[in-house]
Amino acid sequence: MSSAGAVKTTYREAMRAALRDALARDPRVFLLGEDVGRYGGCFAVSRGLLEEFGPERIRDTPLSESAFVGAGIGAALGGMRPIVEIMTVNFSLLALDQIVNNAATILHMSGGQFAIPLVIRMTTGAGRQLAAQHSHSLEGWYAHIPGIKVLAPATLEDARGMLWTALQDPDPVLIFEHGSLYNMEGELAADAGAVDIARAAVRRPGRDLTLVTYGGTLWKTLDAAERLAGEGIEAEVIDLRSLRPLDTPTILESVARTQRAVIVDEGWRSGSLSAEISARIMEGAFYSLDAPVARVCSAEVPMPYAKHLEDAALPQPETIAAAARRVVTGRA
Amino acid sequence: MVEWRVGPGDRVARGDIVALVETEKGLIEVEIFDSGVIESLVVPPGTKVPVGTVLATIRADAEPVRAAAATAPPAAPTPPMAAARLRVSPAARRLAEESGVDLATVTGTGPEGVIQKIDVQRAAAAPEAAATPEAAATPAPDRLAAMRRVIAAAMARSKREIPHYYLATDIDVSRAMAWLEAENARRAVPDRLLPSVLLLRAVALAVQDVPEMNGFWVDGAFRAGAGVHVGVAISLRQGGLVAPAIHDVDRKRADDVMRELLDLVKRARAGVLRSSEVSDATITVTNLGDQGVETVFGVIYPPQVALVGFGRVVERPWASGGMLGVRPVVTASLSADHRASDGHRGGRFLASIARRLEEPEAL
Repeated sequence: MSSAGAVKTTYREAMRAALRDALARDPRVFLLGEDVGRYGGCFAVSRGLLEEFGPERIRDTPLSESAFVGAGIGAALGGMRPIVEIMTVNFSLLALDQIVNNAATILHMSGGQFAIPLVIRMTTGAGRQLAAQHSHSLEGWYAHIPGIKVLAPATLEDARGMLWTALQDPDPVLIFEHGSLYNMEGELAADAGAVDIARAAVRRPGRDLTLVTYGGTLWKTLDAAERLAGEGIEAEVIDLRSLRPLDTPTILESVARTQRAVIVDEGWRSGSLSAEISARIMEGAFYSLDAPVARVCSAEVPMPYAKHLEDAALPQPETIAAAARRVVTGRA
Repeated sequence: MVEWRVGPGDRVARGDIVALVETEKGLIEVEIFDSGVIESLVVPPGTKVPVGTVLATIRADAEPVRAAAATAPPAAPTPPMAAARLRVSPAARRLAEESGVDLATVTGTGPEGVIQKIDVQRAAAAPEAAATPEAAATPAPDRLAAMRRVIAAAMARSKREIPHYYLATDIDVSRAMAWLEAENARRAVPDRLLPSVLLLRAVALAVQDVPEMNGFWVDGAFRAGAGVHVGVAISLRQGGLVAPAIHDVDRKRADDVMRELLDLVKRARAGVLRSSEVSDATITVTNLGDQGVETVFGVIYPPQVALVGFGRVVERPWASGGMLGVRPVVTASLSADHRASDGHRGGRFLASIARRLEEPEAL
């Protein structure tokens, strides 16, 4: 990826560049949320934006998710293009009513008169010892809801490019930023811009099995695929990118070639997004399968604080590789 | 074995076509003799096996574990039945069905011995790799030569083993031709009958009078045919000859015989006949009238015991009731096996054919 026009950056900086770009390009765009202004965002994504764009467009809000998500919905109804930042997906539960009962339904309930061009960003996932109230992966719940789109940027390109495309969407779009990715460094094209938000991406081609994942576990999965390659197992890695709608054809096409699938999802297994993907593979690729679809999910416990317990509760490269080996060879 | 028309789990009824095989006589559609459910396909497509080899096993209704051969009776060792349901991945199962691979013969290399797609691919490739060059290297001339060898063997055996006797008689077919003309005049073109149909029917019905013409000479004794299945000698455009059977000609209406005859000629020339048609004939009729031949003395197709030949229908001066007239006449000949019948009976047989052609409306 190293080219003359590439710059070294981080996921956090790529997100910030996306925000700055959107604020500069469209005067209807503004950011609101807890500590997004003077503090620069709880994960420092919006640092410097208050100084650059002023308090009208970078708005600190009270600690009431329901109130400021509702304000975002109202602003979207009024013709603005609000970006609402929620600190973590755990806290977004306080705004579930606004998101599920209002943002997702108003277009339908107004007979198509009122679209909600709202973008909600929030942090998801574990791995940073933030314990059971800041670490869960509940994006799968949102992927259950018709009327909204759910994105999970896992790469610098997607962190930089998904926001603008989401703002162009007439309907509410939720963007889930995995907390462990903010410090991820890499190179990004200097002219990187908007990307599509409809299709999954094959991040690594392979012939022996398909590993389906998204967000923070993409990198653990690629790590696992690298280990497997050393053992002669060529894993294909699919990054879902969009959790709703799901790019089912890309998954089925891959499984039809590899005959095997393992889904890696940091959410809990029961009633999860991984269950949905597994069901779609059964529905659409049953006769292509050489082995039962397997899943690697988080342990069904509140996320532990202790480092070794948190590590044990989460999908890890070793556990992903072990699941892949079981599917391919019958032995972990 | 060229291709399977059924797969494991398919329900089949007696007479269904289950496979296409290539023999020296051309492509043959294999019919099944029993009803039930296909248990497994034993011989994969592209494989060359001796006649009599078990091609597939079927499970008869209400019989949980019985193996029945889908091919001809000869007893070949029955493959071991799977004691329990095989562990087969969906992908492997589908590929096996598509490629006709019997899963019971495939070794699974997946987790816990599960048969995976790659295992079926290997199994399918193994016999094909061996058989394909042979099959592909059988161009038309070779196939023709092979058919020639089969005819040669059958005819040589016939002349070596069968003491033929020959009889011929001229038959006045004026009534038959007049009836046919009137009948065809009121029929739509596609429904019209050929004279051959009346001849076939006359032969089949004459068998009722002289049953020893219909059957086989096997192991030093005559064995009557189970029905009257008339083999029809059909010359092929590229050379060679087949004589597939129309079944139960004595019990079928002329229209049905006509339809089946057309179908048989078409399929024989396309090179696709059914196993029962190829093997079931109990008596054979050859008609060389098209070539202008007036009399044909044929060679019996063993182990049959009689062959009836017809020549061209020609107008001849014909004395009848003290008057000389011109009548359409056909010469019917009989080649018969003297071991199974005598000239006296042969004469009666030809007379019976002549008599039946006098009453065409009964045909």
